[in-house]
Amino acid sequence: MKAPDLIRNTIALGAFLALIDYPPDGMKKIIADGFARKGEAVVNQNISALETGFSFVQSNYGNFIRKRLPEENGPARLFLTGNEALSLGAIRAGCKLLAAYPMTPSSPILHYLASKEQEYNIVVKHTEDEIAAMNMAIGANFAGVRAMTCTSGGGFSLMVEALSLAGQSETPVVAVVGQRTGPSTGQPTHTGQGELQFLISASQGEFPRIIIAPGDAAETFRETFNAFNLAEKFQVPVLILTDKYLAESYTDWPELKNDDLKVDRGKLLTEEQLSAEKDYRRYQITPDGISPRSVPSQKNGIHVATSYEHDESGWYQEDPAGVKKMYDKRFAKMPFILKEMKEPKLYGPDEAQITLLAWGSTKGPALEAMERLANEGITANLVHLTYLWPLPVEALSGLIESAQQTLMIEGNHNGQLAQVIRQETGIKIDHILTKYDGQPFYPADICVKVKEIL
Amino acid sequence: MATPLELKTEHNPSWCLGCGNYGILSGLKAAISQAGLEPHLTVLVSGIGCSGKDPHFFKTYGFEGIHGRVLPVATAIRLANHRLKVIGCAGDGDAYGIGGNHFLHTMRRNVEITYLVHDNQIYGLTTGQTSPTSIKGFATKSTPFGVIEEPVNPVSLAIAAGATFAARAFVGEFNHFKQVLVQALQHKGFALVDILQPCVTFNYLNTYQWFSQRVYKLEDESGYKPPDRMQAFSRAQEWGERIPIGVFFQETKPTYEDQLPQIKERPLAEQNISSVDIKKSLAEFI
Repeated sequence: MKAPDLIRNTIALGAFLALIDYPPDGMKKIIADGFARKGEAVVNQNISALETGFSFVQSNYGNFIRKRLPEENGPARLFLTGNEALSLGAIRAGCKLLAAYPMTPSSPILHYLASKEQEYNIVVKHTEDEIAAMNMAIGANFAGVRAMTCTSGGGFSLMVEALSLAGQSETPVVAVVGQRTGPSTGQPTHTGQGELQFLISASQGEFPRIIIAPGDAAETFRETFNAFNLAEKFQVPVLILTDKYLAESYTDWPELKNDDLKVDRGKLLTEEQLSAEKDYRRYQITPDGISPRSVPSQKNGIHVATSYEHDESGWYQEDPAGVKKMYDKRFAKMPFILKEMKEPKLYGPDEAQITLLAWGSTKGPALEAMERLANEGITANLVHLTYLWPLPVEALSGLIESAQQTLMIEGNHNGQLAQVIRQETGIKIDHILTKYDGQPFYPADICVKVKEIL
Repeated sequence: MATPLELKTEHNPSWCLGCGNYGILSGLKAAISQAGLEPHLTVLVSGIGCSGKDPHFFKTYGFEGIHGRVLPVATAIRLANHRLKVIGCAGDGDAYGIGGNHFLHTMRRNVEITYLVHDNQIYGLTTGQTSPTSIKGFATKSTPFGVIEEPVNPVSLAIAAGATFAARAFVGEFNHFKQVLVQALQHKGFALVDILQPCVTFNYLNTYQWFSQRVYKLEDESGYKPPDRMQAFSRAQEWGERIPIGVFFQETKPTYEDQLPQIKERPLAEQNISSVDIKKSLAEFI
C-alpha cells in the first residue's frame, strides 16, 4: 500500500521528536489510539512513518539534537485554551446565564457553556444579535442572576448603548471581548490588541467600569471568577479583554487552583435585611457610592431600575444639584475600585538594562524574550498589566520611574496602552514596539527590538 | 394581590391631557388586580417613548431600559426567575421599528411575556415623526410629503411569527380593553396586545373619533373562534372602514421556559452559587 501524501505530517512529527531528543514510544501509543478506528494497516503505516522521520534526523542531523523536555512523566496536567479556562471561571463564579451571538474568537465560550448547561443548570441563549445579548445579560443580573455575554469588537460595538445602560442603572454585568485584527471585519481569525481604548471610552456619558486583560489561561480562569465578584460588589460593568491568541491557544497547567475562591455578592440584600427597611431606595447615596441592591421577588425591595438620570428612589432627576449628586455618587466608587485593581506584576530582576511593558496575552512572548536576552547577557525585566482600567496609576508609576529605560510591546498600531499611561500619569514610555499584522508577538520580535535600542 | 389603588405610586404622569396612555394606566392597574398578580412578583419592563414611563406609576418592580430593547430584558428576567410575571410596555416605534428584530424572535420563542404595545401611529416623545404603523400618505415632521411605505400590520406579523396570543384593543372601548388585558395576562406564553391609543398632540388623523367610527369587536362576530390561525390571519388583514378589535388568535404551546430542564426544579435566581464544584469538568482537560 502506497503511503498518502498526508503521511508527511507523521514523518515530520518523528523528526521533531528526534530534534528534541524525546523517546518516541509515547507518541506511538497516541498514534495507535488515534488511528485505531481506521484499522491496523493505517496504524502501522503511521508508526513506521514516525520511526522513519525519527531515525532520519538521528542519523543525519545529530548536531541539532538538544534535550528540551523532561522525559519522565510528571503528574497529569491540564491542557486547555483561554476560552475554556474563561468558561470554567464563569461556571465556578456561579454564572447562570450566558447570552451571546457567535463571533470569532469568543464563540467557543458559547459552545463550551452550552455543552455544560444541563450539568451546571446554566441557561445559554444564542440570541438574535449582540444588542439582545447584552440587554439579556443586564436583564438577568437585574433579576438577581449572575450573567454574562461574550463577543468580539464588532459585536461589542452593538452592545455599547446597553453597556451605558448598565452604567446608569448600576446593574452588574460581565462582558468578554475577544480581540482580533480590525478595523471592521479585518482579519476575523487572527489576533490583535486594538480595542483597549475602545473599551475604556465606549459609552454615552461617563460611568465607572473595570477592564481586565488576563495574560494566560490560568489568569483567565481566576480573573473571570473575580470579574463576577467585582461586577456585583461595585454594581458596574466588568469587561474581560482577551484576544484570538489567548482565547484559542492551548497551554498546559499543573492545576487551576480554586478552593480559595469566594463568591462575594456585595451589597445584595437578603429578604431579612429588606424586611427591616422602612423606606428602601435602590439608589441610596452612600459613602462608597454603592447602594444596597434588591431583586424582583423580594417583598420589601420594590423599585424601578432606570436608564434615565434619577434620584435615590429611581424617579426622574432634572434638578441640576441632584443630577450632579447622582453622577458623583457613581464616581464615588472609583477609589474603592482602585483599591481592588491588582498592581502590575514585575517579572525578572529588580534592576535591568531595559524594562519591558506588556498587557494581556503578550505576557508569554515577553517572558520568553526576557529569558533569551538573559542568555545573551542582556538583563531585561517585564512589567505586565492584567488590570487595565481604572489604571493602577500609583504602582505603575513607581515601576516605570525606577526603570532605566522602558519598552512597551503592544499588538496595535498606535501604542494604545502607552498613550493611556501618558494620559493618566504624564509618563512617556521611552520606546514602543507595535505589531498589527494579525500575528501574535514572537519572542524574536522583542529581542531584535531590544538589541536595536541598547 | 393588590387593588388598583394599592398599585398606585406617589408619581403622576406628565403625558398630554387626553393621551391614550392614561386609559392604559388605569386599565392595566385594574387588569393586574383582576388577574390577581402579586406586586413583588410582577415586573414592568419598558423602553423609551411616552410609554417608557409606565413602570414608575405601578407599585411593582420595574426596569426602564433603552429604546427598542424591552423584549431582551423581559426575556432574561423570565429566564432568571420564571416565578415572576413580566409585562413589556413599548410604543409602536420601540416595538415594531427599532425593536423589530427582537419582536420577531421573542414571538417564535414563546417566552411568557405580556407585551403591551402603545400604538399611536406616531412618534410622540420626539414630537411627531412617522412610525412603522403610520398610514400610507400620512404627513409628519419626518415625512412632510406623506409616508411612502405601507404600515406594519402587527397582528398579522404576530400570527405569522408564532405568537401564541395576538390581540388588538382600543383604549376608547375601556371595558373591552381591560378584558383583553386580563386575558393576555392570564395567557401562558407570549401575548401581544396592540393597543390603539390616540396621540392627541401629534396625530391629527387617527383620533378617538376616527377609531370609534371604525372599531368592532371580534367576539360580536358570529362564528369567530380564536384558535383558527387562517381565520385569524385573514381577519388581521382588515384595516380601513372597519377595524376589528379583540383576541385574534390564541393557542396553547409549551413556553421557552417550560422546555429548560435547568430551571425545572427552581429558577436560576434561587440556585445556590456559593461554591460551584467544577472538579469533574477540570478533570476532562487532563
